[in-house]
Amino acid sequence: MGVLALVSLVLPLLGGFVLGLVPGSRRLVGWIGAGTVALAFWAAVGMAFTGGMAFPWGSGGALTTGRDWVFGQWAAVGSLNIPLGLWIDGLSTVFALVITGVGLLIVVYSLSYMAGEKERDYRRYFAGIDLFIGAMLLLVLADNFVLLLIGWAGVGFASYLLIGFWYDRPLAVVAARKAFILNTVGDVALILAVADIALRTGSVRFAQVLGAGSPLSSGAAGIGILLFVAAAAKSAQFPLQSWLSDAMEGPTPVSALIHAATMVTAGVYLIARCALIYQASPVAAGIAGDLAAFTALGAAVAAVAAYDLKRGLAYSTMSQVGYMIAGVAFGALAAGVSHVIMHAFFKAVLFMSAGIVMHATGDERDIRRYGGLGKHLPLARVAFLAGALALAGIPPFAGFWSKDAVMGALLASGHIVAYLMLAAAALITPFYAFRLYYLTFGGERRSNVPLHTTVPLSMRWPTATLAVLAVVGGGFAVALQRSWGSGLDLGSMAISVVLALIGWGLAYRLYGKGDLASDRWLPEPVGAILRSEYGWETLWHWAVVEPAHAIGKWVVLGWDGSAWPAAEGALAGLLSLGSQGVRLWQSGLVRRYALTMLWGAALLLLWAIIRR
Amino acid sequence: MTVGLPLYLALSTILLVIGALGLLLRRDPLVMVMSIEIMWNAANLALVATARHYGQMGGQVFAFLVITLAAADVAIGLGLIVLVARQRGRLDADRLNWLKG
Repeated sequence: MGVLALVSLVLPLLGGFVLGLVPGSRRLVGWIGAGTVALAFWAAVGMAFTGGMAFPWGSGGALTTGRDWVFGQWAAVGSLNIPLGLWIDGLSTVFALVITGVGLLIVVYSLSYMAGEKERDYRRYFAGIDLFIGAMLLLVLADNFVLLLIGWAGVGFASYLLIGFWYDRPLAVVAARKAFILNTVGDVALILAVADIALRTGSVRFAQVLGAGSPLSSGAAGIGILLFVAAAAKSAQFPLQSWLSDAMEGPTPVSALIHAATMVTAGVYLIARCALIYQASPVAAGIAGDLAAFTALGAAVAAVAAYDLKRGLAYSTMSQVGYMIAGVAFGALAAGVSHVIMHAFFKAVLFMSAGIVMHATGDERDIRRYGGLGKHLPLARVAFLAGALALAGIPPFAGFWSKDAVMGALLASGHIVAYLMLAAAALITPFYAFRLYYLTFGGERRSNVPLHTTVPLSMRWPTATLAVLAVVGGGFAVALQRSWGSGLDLGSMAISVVLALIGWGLAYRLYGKGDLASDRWLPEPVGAILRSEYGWETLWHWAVVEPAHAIGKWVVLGWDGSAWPAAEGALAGLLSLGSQGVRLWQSGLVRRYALTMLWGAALLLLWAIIRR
Repeated sequence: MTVGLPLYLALSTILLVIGALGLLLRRDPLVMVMSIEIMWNAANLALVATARHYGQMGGQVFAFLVITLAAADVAIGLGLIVLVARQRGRLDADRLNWLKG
C-alpha cells in the first residue's frame, strides 16, 4: 500500500521533470504527460482497494486508523525528527483519487485543447501540469507537516507557472504574480503554524501531533487560526480570495485543474487533516467556518453579475470551497470531504464545457457575445447543464448529496450563523449557474464571429465522462458518508432543495429566453460593484499600494530635492579631490575586480593557515 | 555506506571552483550571478557538512544566514541586471564600466 502511494506520488513528479528538461515530439510529450498521471491514478485506485479507505478520525477529531509508511530519514535537528514518509488513510486516499482521476481527465482534455501551441510550449505546459499534480499528491500524502509544506509550496509554484503560461500577455503575468504573492501570505502562516506545533509538541509528524492523546489541546486556537490563514490563501477564501478570479488568465484546462483537483482543495485537506485542532478550539473553528460561510455567500452574490464566463465559474468555486471549509471546520468531516469530490466532478465539467465554448468562439469569454450556442455545441450544452444542476444541488445530481449534507450537518450541530449564510448562498447558486447557462446556450447568437464547432475526440470524452459523474457521482458521496458513519439528514436537506428550486425558477423566469436585456433587473452601479469584486482591489490599492508609493515619492523628492544636494555636492567634491591618486586603479572591468577579490580571499586564507 | 566529511568538502571545493571560474570567464551578468550562487552554496555545503560532522548546530544556523544573504544578493543583482538591460539593450559585464576612474 505504501509502495503504491509512493508510485502514485513519484510518477507525475518524474514526468514533470523529464518533460521540463528533455525535448521530445508532441506525441511523446502527450504520452509522458498523460501516461504518468494515468499510472498514478491506477496506483491510487490500488491504494483504495488495499485498505486505504478507512475512516481517519476518532473521537475529538484525533487521527486513529492512518498508516504511517516511513521510507527514509530526511533531517534530524536536535530532538526534532523529520522522516520521509507517507500517511495513508481514508482522507489522503480520497484526495489522491480525486487529484489523479479528475487530473487525468483534464490532462487528456488538454492534449487537444493545447494542440495549437508551439512544440516547446506544449512540452512546457505538460511539464507544469505533471509538476502540479505531483506537488498536490505530495501535499496530501505527506506524513508530517514539513513534507506537507514542500508540497504546499510546490503547488503554489506550479500554479504560478501555469497561470502565467502565456507569458507574453501582461494580464496573465500579473495574475500569476498576484496568485503567487497571495499564496506566499498563506505559506508564511503555515510555516508559523508548523513552527508553533513543533515547539509545543516536539514533533511535526501527524501520528504524534494529531493522534489520540495529542499534547495540542492547549494553544490550539492560535495554531488553528494560522492554519486557516494558510488554507484561505490556497483555497481563495476571504480575505485572501482575490487571486482566484484573476487566475482565469491561464489556459482553461489549468483553471479546471486549479478549481477541481489540485489547488483550492488543499486548504480543505489541511483543515480536515487538522480536525483535532478545530475540535479542540471552538474559537478557531468559528473563525474558519464563519469566514468560509461568509465567502460562500459573498462569492455567490458576486457571480450573479459576472459577464466573463470563467470569472463567474471562479466565484462559484470560491463559494463552493466555502461550503467545504465551513463543513470540515465545524466537524461535518464526511460531508465536507465528499463535497470536495462532488465539486471536482461538476466544476471540472463546467470548465471543460466552457473550454469547448471558448474553443468554438475563438477564445471569447464574454457571455454578452455568446448566446444561442446550444444548437451548435450540443455536447457542451448538455455537459454544462449537468454541471449546473449538480452545482445547484438539485437531487439526484452530484452536488445535492454533499452540499446539502454540509448544510444539514451544520443545522443539526447548531451553527446557525454559518447555516443561514450557506442557505442564502444555496438560493443564489442555482440562479447564477442557470443565468450563465441560459445566456450562453439559449436565445439568439449575439456575435457574428464564425464558430468552429468541431470538438476533438480527446476533448469530447473527458467532458462526457465528467458529465456522467456530475449526474450519478452522488453515489460516491453517499457511500463515503455511510462508510464514515454520518447518515444523511434528509429533513434539513429538503429545505435546501426548495431553496435550489426557487433559485432555478427565478433564473428561468428572468433569463429563460436567453435574452441579455433581462440583466436590467440589477441596477448598473450594483452590477459594476459586484463585477469589481466589491471594489476589493481598490481597497488594497489605497491601503497598501498608494502608501508605499507615497513613501517612495517622499524619499526621492522630499529627500533628494531638498537642501541635501548642495551638501552632497560639497562632500563629493572633497572625496573626488582625495581620490585623485587611487582612482586610476578602478579599471571598470567587473571581472578584474572579481579576480582581485578572489586573490584577496585566497591570501587571507593562506595567512590564516600559516598563522596557525 | 556513509559519505564522510572529506567527500563533502571535496564536492564543496569543486563547486566553489566551478563558481569562481564561471564568475571570471563568463561575461553575461546573469550567468555571473548564477556562478556567485554556486559559490554561496559551496560554502553552505561545507558549513552544513562540518556542522553535521562535529555535531554542532552553529554551522547549520550559519547556513541559514548565508541563504538569506544569497537571496538579498540575487535581489540586488537581478535588479541591476534588469536596469542595465533596459538602458543598454545588451548585457556584457566588460562594457559595464561607467564608473571607471
